[in-house]
Amino acid sequence: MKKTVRELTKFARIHHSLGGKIFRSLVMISALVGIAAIVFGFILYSSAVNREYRTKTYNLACTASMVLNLKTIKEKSGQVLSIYDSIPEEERQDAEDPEYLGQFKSVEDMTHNKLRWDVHELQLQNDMVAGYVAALDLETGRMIFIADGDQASTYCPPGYYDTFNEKQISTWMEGNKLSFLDRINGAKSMSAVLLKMERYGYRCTAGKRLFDVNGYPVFIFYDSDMTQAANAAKTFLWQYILVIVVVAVLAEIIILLFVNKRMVKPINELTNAAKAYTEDSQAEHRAGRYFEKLNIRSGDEIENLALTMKDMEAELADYVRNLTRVTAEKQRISTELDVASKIQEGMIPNIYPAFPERSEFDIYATMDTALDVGGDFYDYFLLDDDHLVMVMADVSGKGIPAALFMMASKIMLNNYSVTTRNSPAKILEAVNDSICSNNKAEMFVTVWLGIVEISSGKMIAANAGHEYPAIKKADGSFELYKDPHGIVVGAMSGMKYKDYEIQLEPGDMVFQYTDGVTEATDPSGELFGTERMLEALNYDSQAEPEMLLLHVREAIDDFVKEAAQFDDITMLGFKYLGPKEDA
Amino acid sequence: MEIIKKLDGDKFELKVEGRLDTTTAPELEEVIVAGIEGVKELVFDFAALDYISSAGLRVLLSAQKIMNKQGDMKVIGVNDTIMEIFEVTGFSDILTIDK
Repeated sequence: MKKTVRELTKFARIHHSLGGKIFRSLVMISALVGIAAIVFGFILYSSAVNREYRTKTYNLACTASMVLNLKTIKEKSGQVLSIYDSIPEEERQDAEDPEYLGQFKSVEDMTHNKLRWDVHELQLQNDMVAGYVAALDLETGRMIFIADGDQASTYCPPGYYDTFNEKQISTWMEGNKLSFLDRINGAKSMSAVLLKMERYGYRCTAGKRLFDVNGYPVFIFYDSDMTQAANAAKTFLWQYILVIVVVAVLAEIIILLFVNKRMVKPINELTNAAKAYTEDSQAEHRAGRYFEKLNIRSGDEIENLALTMKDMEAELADYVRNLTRVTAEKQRISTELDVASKIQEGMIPNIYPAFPERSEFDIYATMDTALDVGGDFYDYFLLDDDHLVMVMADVSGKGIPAALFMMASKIMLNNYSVTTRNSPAKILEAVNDSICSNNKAEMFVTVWLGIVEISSGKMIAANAGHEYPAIKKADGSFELYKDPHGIVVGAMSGMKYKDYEIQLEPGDMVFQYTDGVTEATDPSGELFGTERMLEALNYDSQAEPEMLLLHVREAIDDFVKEAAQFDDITMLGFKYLGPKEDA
Repeated sequence: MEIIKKLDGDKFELKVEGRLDTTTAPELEEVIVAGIEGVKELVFDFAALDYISSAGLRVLLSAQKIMNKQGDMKVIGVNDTIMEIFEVTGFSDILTIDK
């Protein structure tokens, strides 16, 4: 489960911070960009510096090749190389061997000295660290000194040699291999080599080939000091890193301040407003209290969000007001339904024993409504000392409309019975016409109405579309009595109903009910039906009306199990006990 | 409940299947109100109807009252269960029923 903001730990909240996220991203991006800038910048810088040094040195070698006395060089080269060739290879192994070097002594005469000074002069004028004429022995990789311009202790006498590898030799012979950067910068190939040697330090040695003597190519070489360039590159690198770091840190701080002011702060304000809003328990007072007060002017989606929240707050307030009103309304309706239900209950006789002073009969009835108010009803009342009216009715539809219709029907049936003293059929006809004359809702009611002459046990009844009554003769069992049926009351005016007569003997019983009994439905959709009802009625042949109704109710409950009661269940039981003894 | 409508000139036939009770009756009523204008012959086919409650009867009664003014109404394919309900409620007296 995702936690809510309130449940987050402090650490998690920091981790949840937008500022923190942006900070981490910025540091990563600037580190990557910075490293790339440093690497690329340094490569560009040092390759430019190296190129400049190579060019400078090579150019001087070229200049020297034009100003130096080539005749002398050729002569001196001839002498040195002839001596070199005359010495067997075994004796040339050590360039510093005095015996080996001694063999070249004859070369160092005045002309040789003059050449050295000329070479040295050019070296000094051009800020080089060394200048010398030398020949390359391509087989051994030796650079054999002819005339060294050096006037100090590091002077290399004629015949002295340094050994180089193949790559360095070939660079002097054929020029530099050009790198990609060199090419795009339009650099020319030069015979210049960057060397790091123990003896001379870090140098750029460039040579210009003059001519070949005895098969050895002879060069004029100049060395420039690269240590300075390397140091300059190092200094550049550090300054460059410093600038990039400072710029990156400054940029991060500025962006963070901006993000904090324009994003984090407004979002936190929104969060706090939302928190305060939800913590305010008095929902109806929330309107315009929290989001309305926010003043977020970030000019972006966050401002849109704030505006949306304001709208939402206003709309929620409206909604809550509405809901409160609707709830109050519902409450009122519910209260009124309660009262209506009580009035309806009050209209129906439900105090038992119903006629405690009458020993000639026993009557009992129940009504369970499926909704608060129902459409079923029963009624019984004495017309006079000798006549009892029983009514069982079921109004089409349910709820308040049915209840209203039920009340009207009940009162009319009662009124017509009492005032006209007519037979059941006549009463039903009169009530039917009365209802039909003004039945806009097109509702109707099924009615069974019976009048018992108590002294004789003679019952006259009529049925307007209601269920068949169940009658039990004293020594028999309950059976449906298929009485003649007329149409339901309220369908059409001018309908006729038929009276019928049943002679009740002492001990006989009448059971009337509504379709809530026969049409009680079990979870699988099966109806309770009249068979099961008769079975329940005959379960206990000694049962008085009250027990009788209880048996039926229990049978229904057993049958429907957990299925919800859908219709009103109304039952009436009547037992004729016989005329008064003294009558 | 399912209603299959068939309008053939001024003859409107409605085949009603399943249960016609408080919850489904308003649907049938809507169909009737929407289609009854100008109909001379209204026929209900109840061959596949399992049950009809008082709310269903009310719809039939309303339809019968309208058809009394503008033509004929007939209920066909009525099975024993439905017939019993018609008889008990006395609707068999006012409806034209073809079994």
